[in-house]
Amino acid sequence: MTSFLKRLDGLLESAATAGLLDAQTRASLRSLAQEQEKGRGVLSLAAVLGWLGSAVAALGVILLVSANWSTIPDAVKLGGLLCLLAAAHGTALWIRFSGSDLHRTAEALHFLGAGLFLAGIGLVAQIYHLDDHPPNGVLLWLVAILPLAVLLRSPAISLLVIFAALLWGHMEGDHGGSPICMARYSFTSHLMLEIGMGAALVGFSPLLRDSEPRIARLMRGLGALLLFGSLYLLTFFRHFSELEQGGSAVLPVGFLVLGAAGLATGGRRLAPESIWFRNRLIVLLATALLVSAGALAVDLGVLPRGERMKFFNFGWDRTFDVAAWSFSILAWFLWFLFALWCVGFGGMSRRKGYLNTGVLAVGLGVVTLFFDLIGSLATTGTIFLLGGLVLLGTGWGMERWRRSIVRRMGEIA
Amino acid sequence: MNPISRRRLGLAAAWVCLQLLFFAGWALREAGRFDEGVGRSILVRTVPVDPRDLLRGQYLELAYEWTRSDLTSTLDIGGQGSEVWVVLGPEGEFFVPLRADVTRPVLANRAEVAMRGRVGRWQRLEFGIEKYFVPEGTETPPAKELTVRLRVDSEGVPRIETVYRNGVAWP
Repeated sequence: MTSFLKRLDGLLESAATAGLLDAQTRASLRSLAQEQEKGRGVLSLAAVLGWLGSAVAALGVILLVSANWSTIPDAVKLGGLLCLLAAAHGTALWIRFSGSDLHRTAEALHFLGAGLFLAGIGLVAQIYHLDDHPPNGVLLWLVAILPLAVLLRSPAISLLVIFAALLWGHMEGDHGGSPICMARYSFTSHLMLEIGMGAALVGFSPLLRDSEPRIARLMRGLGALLLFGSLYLLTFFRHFSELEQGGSAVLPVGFLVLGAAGLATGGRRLAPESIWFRNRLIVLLATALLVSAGALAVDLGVLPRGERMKFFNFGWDRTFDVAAWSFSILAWFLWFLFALWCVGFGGMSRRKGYLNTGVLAVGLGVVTLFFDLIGSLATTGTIFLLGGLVLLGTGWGMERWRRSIVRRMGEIA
Repeated sequence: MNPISRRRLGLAAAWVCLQLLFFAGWALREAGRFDEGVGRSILVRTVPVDPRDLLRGQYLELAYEWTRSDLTSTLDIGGQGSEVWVVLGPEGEFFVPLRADVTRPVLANRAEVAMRGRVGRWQRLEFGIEKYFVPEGTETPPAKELTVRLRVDSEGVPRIETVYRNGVAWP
């Protein structure tokens, strides 16, 4: 029983004793609260522990498979894995069929089963020394678990599906025998997969808001995480940008198009609390996709790189192309605009999660920019001294800013 | 949270059963490639190194005489992922590469064997027989001590049948 339900029980008991509630109303309220608790956020403690436990167990099986014990006959290894797979899903389905309230346990067991399928692919490939096209193994895993995510309405398996899709993209793009293999060491192309997937998840998530709210929340959160992470990396574009030759652009372009499709399909249903914030979010997401596409075009040689510029940075002379510089700066602008959007939207909708994310992003941006750009003003020692002061000042300023917004949110409420 | 309907649960149970059947079928199909009388069994030379796979453990990475040979130097074999065929013929107890083609070749005699592969990075020819999984901690033997017996089916798909060290099945 959760602490909320315990507190509610105490309150209902007091209300019943005081004669404010009859027994039927008390039972109805208790039942309603219990039902709402079941649908509470994807990341409840029980769910997270269940996922972690299942992930660790599945990894354990995968490691045992990798140990490749020659003393155990192949048929026994395969039979054992099939029994585990059947037991994990079977027990979970039995829990659901029986109408038990052990939803989190059932979900964790399905999560384990989905992980065991990947272990099974590895096991068969190991026993028969198969190495035809390793990314196909991940694609097979994706195809196998996708229907389960839909049928079981499971955020946990949905998480694995998204992970499998990204993993497949990276593996296929890096596999020499693939017709859509990207150029060797093509960091920019790989980064486009994260940006495209992030935008797609955020864009498509509103379409599931009513029918599958838990999966929609997961998609939105994961999409935001991917977007912030990849945009942060894109701010260093001038450091890793290089001409990619001899590779295919199908995967990075495909993922960016997927992101655009998500935005076009679900953009109008984003941030339903405010049209003003929604429109700005759509513009920001579209700009992020365009800037990413531009950076990709520079590395693929479609856009000219421009002249080389010298820059003194932490004691070294560095040279960067104008194009690489430009896209780094654009990425920084986007980073701060996204952060400010989060702060504004969090303040408007009274959601502390958005507010904290935005404030944290602004602080991280200021500190990173300091080390990334201001290196030419002094020797490394002075820079670190100033850096420490900037860190202290930023932390203090950000916290004051956050608290003032939270206070105002409280006043409005 | 809306409850999951019994119909959905039934479909999920059926899908899990399909997953189990898939594994059983896949394993049987792969095992069937090594049945008596299926395909051609040929012995070839190899060159190993010893990396690891996160999912499948320790393996020998095997290169063959045709992996980086001049067989395709006069061919327009296309880009990465394109299909390529290599014809092997007997030379003593071993089978050695004779020629390559981009389409299924016509064999000059019954002793020859054709294998189907793909063009990998840096024009390497890959046939899906480049990894041999071994128990964790297995010592990597010197390359000159190893030979590989392949089983090539009627479609030209090769599989590693046995790896030999100094003529004895290994590991």
